[in-house]
This record gives sequence, structure tokens and C-alpha cells, in this order.
Amino acid sequence: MKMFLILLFSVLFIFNSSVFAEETETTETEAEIYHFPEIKPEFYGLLGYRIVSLGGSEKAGEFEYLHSSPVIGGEIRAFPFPHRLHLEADVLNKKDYFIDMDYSYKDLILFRGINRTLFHNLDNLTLIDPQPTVANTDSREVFVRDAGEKYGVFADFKNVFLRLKTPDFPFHVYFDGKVYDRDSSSQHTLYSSPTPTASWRGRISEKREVDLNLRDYTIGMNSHLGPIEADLSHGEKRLDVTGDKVVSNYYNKKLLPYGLLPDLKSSTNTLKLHTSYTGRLVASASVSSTDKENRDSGAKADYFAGSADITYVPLTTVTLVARYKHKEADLDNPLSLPAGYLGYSGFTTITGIKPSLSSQTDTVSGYARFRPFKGLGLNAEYTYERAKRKNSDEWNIPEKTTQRNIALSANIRPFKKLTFKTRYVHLNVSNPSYNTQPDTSDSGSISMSWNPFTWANTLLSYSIAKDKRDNLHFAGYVEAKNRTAKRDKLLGNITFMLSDKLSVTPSYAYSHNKIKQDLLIDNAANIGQLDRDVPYKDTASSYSLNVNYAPKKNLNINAEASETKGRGGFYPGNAGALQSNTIASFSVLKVKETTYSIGSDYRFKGDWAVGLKYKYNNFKDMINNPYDDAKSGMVRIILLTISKKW
Amino acid sequence: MIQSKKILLLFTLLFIFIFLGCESLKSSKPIMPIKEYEKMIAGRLDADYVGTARCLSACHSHDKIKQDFNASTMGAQLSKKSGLPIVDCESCHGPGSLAIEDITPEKVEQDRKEGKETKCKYETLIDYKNLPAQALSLICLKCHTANATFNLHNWNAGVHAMNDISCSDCHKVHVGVDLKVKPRETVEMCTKCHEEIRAEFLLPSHHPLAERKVFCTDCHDSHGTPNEKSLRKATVKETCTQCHAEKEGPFVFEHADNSEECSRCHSPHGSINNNLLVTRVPFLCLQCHEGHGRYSDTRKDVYYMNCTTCHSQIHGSDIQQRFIQ
Repeated sequence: MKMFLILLFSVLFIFNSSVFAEETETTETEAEIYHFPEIKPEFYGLLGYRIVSLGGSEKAGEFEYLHSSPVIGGEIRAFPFPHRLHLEADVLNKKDYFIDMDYSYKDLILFRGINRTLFHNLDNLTLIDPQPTVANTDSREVFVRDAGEKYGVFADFKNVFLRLKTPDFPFHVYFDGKVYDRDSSSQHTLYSSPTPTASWRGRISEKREVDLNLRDYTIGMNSHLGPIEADLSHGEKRLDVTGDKVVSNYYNKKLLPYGLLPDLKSSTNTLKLHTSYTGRLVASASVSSTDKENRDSGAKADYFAGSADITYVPLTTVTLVARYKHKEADLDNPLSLPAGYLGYSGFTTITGIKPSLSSQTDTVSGYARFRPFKGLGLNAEYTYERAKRKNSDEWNIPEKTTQRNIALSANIRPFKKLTFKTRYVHLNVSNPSYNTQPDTSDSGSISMSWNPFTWANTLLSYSIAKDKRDNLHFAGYVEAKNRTAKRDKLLGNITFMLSDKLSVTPSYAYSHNKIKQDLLIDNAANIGQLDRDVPYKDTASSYSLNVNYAPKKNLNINAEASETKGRGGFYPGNAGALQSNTIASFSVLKVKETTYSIGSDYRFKGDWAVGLKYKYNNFKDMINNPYDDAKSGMVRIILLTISKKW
Repeated sequence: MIQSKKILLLFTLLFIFIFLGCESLKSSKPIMPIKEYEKMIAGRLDADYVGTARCLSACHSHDKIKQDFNASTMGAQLSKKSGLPIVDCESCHGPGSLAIEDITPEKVEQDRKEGKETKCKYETLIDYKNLPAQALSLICLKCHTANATFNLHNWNAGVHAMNDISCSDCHKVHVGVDLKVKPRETVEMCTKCHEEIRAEFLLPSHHPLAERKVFCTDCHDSHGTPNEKSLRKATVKETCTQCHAEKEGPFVFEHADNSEECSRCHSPHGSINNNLLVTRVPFLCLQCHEGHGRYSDTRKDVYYMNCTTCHSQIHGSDIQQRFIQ
């Protein structure tokens, strides 16, 4: 027995070298040993000032904090092995900054933290009274309680990722945290009584200040376990709303709640498994289960998602993929709301609430790729999806909807400087659930990338999609029939490398969305009037020119000019139900956005640099339509910086 | 005595089993290796490994590559001090003895005096430019399949792999501190191929991608997912409510199951219509809903100015079924 154990341990020590991770020593000469250079830390600092000038609507600088401010930034890279550190920060102002930090220790600790913010300017839109000189007692009357208010949303995103690993073995434990804070001051519109004693309702606009705090934390672990790898994680998500969480207003002489933003809670468990990525046969699977709860109303929802795919490469010219996905959504809402709900004594009981739609969706797809020779790739994909709903009768939508989708595409490269990509998709839907879902849809796209000369590179692409629907559904009305939709897009650009110091890129993009659909609009006697083939159309076109010029090694200039035009509207035609002029005028839109920017960096000796950036943006409502939610504005921003590297 | 020997044997066998198990647990074996690709990325079988020093010592044309590389994660893997698994030049480029055959420091110096650059026989290394995308990716996946890299969980069946995109199309190994693309640079990288998407973000109502406040990777996972459009989350709604959480619900009064699919009403990249709507109001709502009745002419105007002025809780309400409260 003793001899047996001694022999067994000897075998282990001699042959199981990977367990003990001993490095073999080679007989390298001093000259042959690679000496990794010491990497000195690098620092970069930036100071500057940002000048902002605004005229008109803040829409012109929608995502800029429109106040002048000093600017600071910097970057640190340090590699005192086994530690590695990278920190980058750009602070434009107190509402607009970006911080990114990476730290790692060997391969045992990995940390990444990103904090970014944005400020979104919102318009204060004026409600319009169609009869301003008449004192109506219905929805024609407007009550503007927020005249002159300035609105905006400050959003702060924090992402933190920490991963710990066991030495010499791929077992990880990780934490992934996201915290999203949003402070908003925005316009709230409601249909409510203007005074406590009024028994009628008008349209009201008022200011609403809401703070959201969203926390999404996931902890998990994963490891390599022989032929498979496994990952198991648990996530918790919480949304807390403070401030004007619910707005109080009167209707029919009772104080009632409006616009509740509920606190939410959810938990998710996820398991993922996959085989090695490097074989002819690769399989992966994942399942996740999520429970959600609305903590104010008690509504609940359970979600389950499972998916699996297998990839098989029988020949290097052929790849086959089979996928299956299963989703379940089980919604459970309260079927009644009690008197005094949310603490409002004027709230009367609501019973007979419709149960929410729950559903189960299964999707099976197969994909084949054939690459007969270099320069040609052919792909084909078939997808079958079936959605089955519970409580669909109460919602007047089909219980089952199935979709079949075939996609064919080709990537062709006849010679090195020319590439074509084409794609065709056909979709067939049985029992579409909503009017916007087609019975059939056909779409195609083609793009060409061509480098005819060393100094020119071109890209041209066009895509088109056509939808058709024959049996629209409007709550029991059987006469409505048709819907057709067509969307097409064109894009082209050319880059000219006029020299190794100068490149110019003009580009053009166009998109067009056209729909014709039967609409059903009630007349004054509350009888539905069919308006056949009502046209809707919107188009957008963008022109831009980009110039990059580096006349000297230490001087770089970039300039860009762009103009985007958008227009849209719909044109109902049934004179019996509508006055086409009036309705159409509400939705007509014609806007133009013009942007110019120029920036330059000049580097001095000693790694000093100065930078200047100028940006001009002009957003214009071309027809001054008071109904179109578009307001004209113009903004200029100048950024001056001085920086140093050491 | 016999009992204690049996226990000792049992623990010994258990100990051996764990160690042997650990070894097999660590190893990564592909299911049916693709031998054609394995041959392509093995390099020349008649070449020997020469070591990193010889790759870098004589050829100064490598200096810029080396300088950029040093500060990257893969560069750090040339150093034992970093504590990372050692990965050197020949791990990816194949054995280099044929490439540096006949090159000596004296020859390099002689060429430098003559104003010439000494070139190695790089054609004897792995031919990266002509490798199929799947084989190129295999070079990276050889290591990243055995260290529980779960962000590649759906890579093989993902849309990028299926369209002959390889790791090196996005990850530039020799450049930069970080092999991953910086978040604020994803818009340039992604829109090099997805130019039509860049055009969508130029429309008047858009997510601030061009302004670099949000990133492509906030919603999409470029390594592939089982979800449509490579979305990070299982449904469109879950993706959108990563930020727009107040729309998530569940609510007492839902907008049917329309609210599960935000893209029925919203165009997430950009639109000419306010709030990223796919079509203008009121046409958007009239596509599915019968218009209002019981009106006078001027009151009818109110109904069609903007539906959500009154129906403001359109994403779901906990108070009233018509979304007015």
C-alpha cells in the first residue's frame, strides 16, 4: 500500500505539470531574452473655455448644456506591472462630462467604471385654443400654467464592472452595476378640470419635476468546465421615483391622481452554457427568468426567455446554423382598483378591469452560408415565429399570429477594389395583430463600395421595403381594407484623397416613407366614416461635406457642413367626416437643420497644443406651423483649449 | 488500522481525481476541430519559433508597432511582470525562423547606411490578408474559448460572424491602451460599415449618438446575441427601458401588448417626427384606432391636434384605461 501511494504521487508530480504551472527554463542567451521595455506613465491635461450663444428654441442645441463654462480634461496611463491603470476625464460643464477608468491587476482583478452625463433640452409647447375668443366649457379651452418655463432633463449614467479571477484557472466572479439618475423638469399635459368647482374638462399644460433613480445590479460567476463553459448570474433592478411622482388635479369637483410614475422592482436569474468556440460544431444555450412588480399598483409580470443555437461547419465553404427561441410574458394586473386608491378620497372604485395580454412566442430559424470561392458569399435564412396570446378576445386581437420570413443575401467581391452587397427579405404574416403589421412584406437592398483610384473611395446604397395589408381591423368595423406602405432610402458618398494631407468627403442621404391606408373616423353622430386610401408621406434628405486638412505635421484642421431637410404630413380626403384642410394642417411638417463646424489643433514643442472648435447649428421650422411641435432656434458654440502631454 | 488505511486511500484517490479533473477542466477541446483552418493558422511547419527578442531586435520598422503595442493588454502579455498569461508575437503570427533567415544586425546596419530598409520574409508568416474571416477569428478564439469569455457566448451564430466579419475588423491588436474600442469611438467604428445608420442619426429627432452621449453598444452587442438586431436584451422593450425605465411597467392598464414592442411607434435611431415617432401624429394613432366622434367642427380640431395632449399616459397607466390619467 505505501509503495503504491508513493508511486502514484510520483506519477502526479512528474506528469501533471499544468496543475503545478511550472515554467520550463530554456537555455537562451542573454541576447535572445526579450526585455520588456519599462513603460513610463503618460499624462495628458487640458484646460479651456466654452462659449455658448443661443437664439430661439433650445432644439438647435438639443443635447448641449447651453451655458458658457470652463472646461477641464485629462488622461493618465500608468503600467507599474502587475498593475495597469487608465483614467480619462472630459468635463465640459457641471451637466456634461465623461469619465472612464480602467484598472487591472494581473489577470486577477479587472475593474471598469464609466460615468457619463447628458443634458437634454426640451421645448415648452403651447397648447392651442381653436376658438380663443369664445369661452367654451370643453376640451377646446386651454389653461397654460407653465408660460415661460424652461425645460430640460439631466441624465447621469454610471456603469461599474468588477471581475475577480482565481489564479491559473478560468473561474470568475463578477459584479456589473448600473445606476441611472435623471432629474427632469418637463411639460406635463392633461385633460382635466381647470378649477376645483368645474364639472367639465379642458386641456392643461403645467410644469412637472421628477427625479428617477434606477439601479440595476448583477452578480454572477462563470467558469470553464471541460467541454463546456457555464455562467450563472442574478440581477436586481429597482426604480424609485421622487418629486412630482403623481400629479393632482380636479375632475368633476373631485381631486384625482394623474400621470402616476410607479416605483418598479424586478429580479432576473440567468444561466448560459456554451461549448468551445473553435470546432466544427459549436452550441450555446441560455435561459433567464424575470419577475417584475409595480410597487404602487401591484401589477406583476413574469418573463421567461430561453434560446439555443447550434453552428455546424461541415466544410470550410459551408456554415449551417439552427436557432430556437422561446419567450413567455405572463402579466397579472389587478382586476379592480379600490376607492381611495393612492390616497385620493375622490377616487371611486373601478371594477371589471381587462386582464392584460399574456403571450408565448416560439421562434425557430435556420441559416446557411455558402462561400464557393473567394470573393463570393451566399446566405439564406428561414425564420418561423408563432405568438400565442392569452385573453386576446377581450382585446379584439387574434389569439395566434404566425410569421414566416425568408432572407437571401450575397456579398460579391469581383476584384479587390469593388464590393457588392445585396439582400432580399420576404415576410408573410398570418393573423397580424395590429393594423401596422402587414400580411406580406418584401424588402431589398443593394450597396456598392468601390475604390476606382487610390485617391477615391465611393459608397452607394439603396434599399426599398413594401408592405401590404388586406384586412384592417377597427373594433368590429368590417369595411376597412387596405394598407400599403413603401419605404426607401438612398445613400452615397465619395472620399477624395487629394493628397496625403487633404481629404474631402461629400455625401448625400435620402429617405422616403409613404403609406396609404383606410382610416375610420367618427362623424358628429358618432358613426364611423371610412376614408379610403388616406395618404401619408414623410421625406428627409441630408447633404454633408467633410474636409480634413493637415498642412503641417503639427497642424490638423477639420471642417464639416451639413444640411438636413425633413417634411411630412397626411392628407385625409373624406369630406363627409373631415375638413381635409384643417386636419392635414395639424400634421404638416417642414423643417431644415443646418450645421457648420470647424476645428483645429496646433501642437507646439514640449508636447503643448492649442485647440479651437467652432460649431453653428440652425434648426428652422420652415412653415411656422404652430401645431407641428417644431420651433426654430440657433446656437453657436466656441471651444478654446490648451493641453499638454508629459 | 485497516479502517484508517481505507480512509487514507479514499482521500488520496479523491485528491488525485480533483487534480486530474482540474487539468481536464482547464483544457479546451473543440468539438470536431476544423483541420483546414487549424493548418492555416499553425504557420509553416518547416519553421521554428525564434522568440520575441529576435522578432523585434533588428528591424526598426517594427519600432512604431512595438511602441503602440507595449501599452496594450496584448503587449503587456509579452512581460512576465504583468502577471498575465504570456502571449508573444509568434503565438499569433506563427513560427518566425524563415522570416528572419539571413537577417543579422550587421546586415541591418549595412542597409541603413545604404538608405535601404531591411525587410524580413514576412510572406513566410501566417498570411493574414488572405485568411478567411472564420480562420482569422480562430486565432483569437484559440485563447478566448478557454478563459470563460462570455461576451462571445453567441459569436459563432451571430450576424457578424455569419457575414465574414472577424475579430480584427474591429479590434486593432497593435494599437492603443485598450484592445476594446472606447465607448465614444464606437460610432465611427460601427458606421464605417453601417453608413445608412449614421444617416438616420442626422434626422431632426434622434438619440444623441453623433453627440457621443449614447453609444451603439448601449443597445446592441456586436459579438452577437440570440435577439433580433443583436439587441443586448431579450426584447425591444427591455432594451429601451434600460434608460426609459418609467415606461417599463407592468401597468394596470396596458396599451395591449403594443408596449412590448416600442419600435411599432418609435424609430430608435432617428426620425423627422418629434419623440422619434415613425409617422406623424395623429396619423400614427389613426392607423389602429377609430377617430373621435360627437364633435362640433372646432372641437374636432382639438381631437386631431395631438392625441397625447389628453391621452398623456400612452405607454401604460395605473389609473385610467384611456390613458388620460
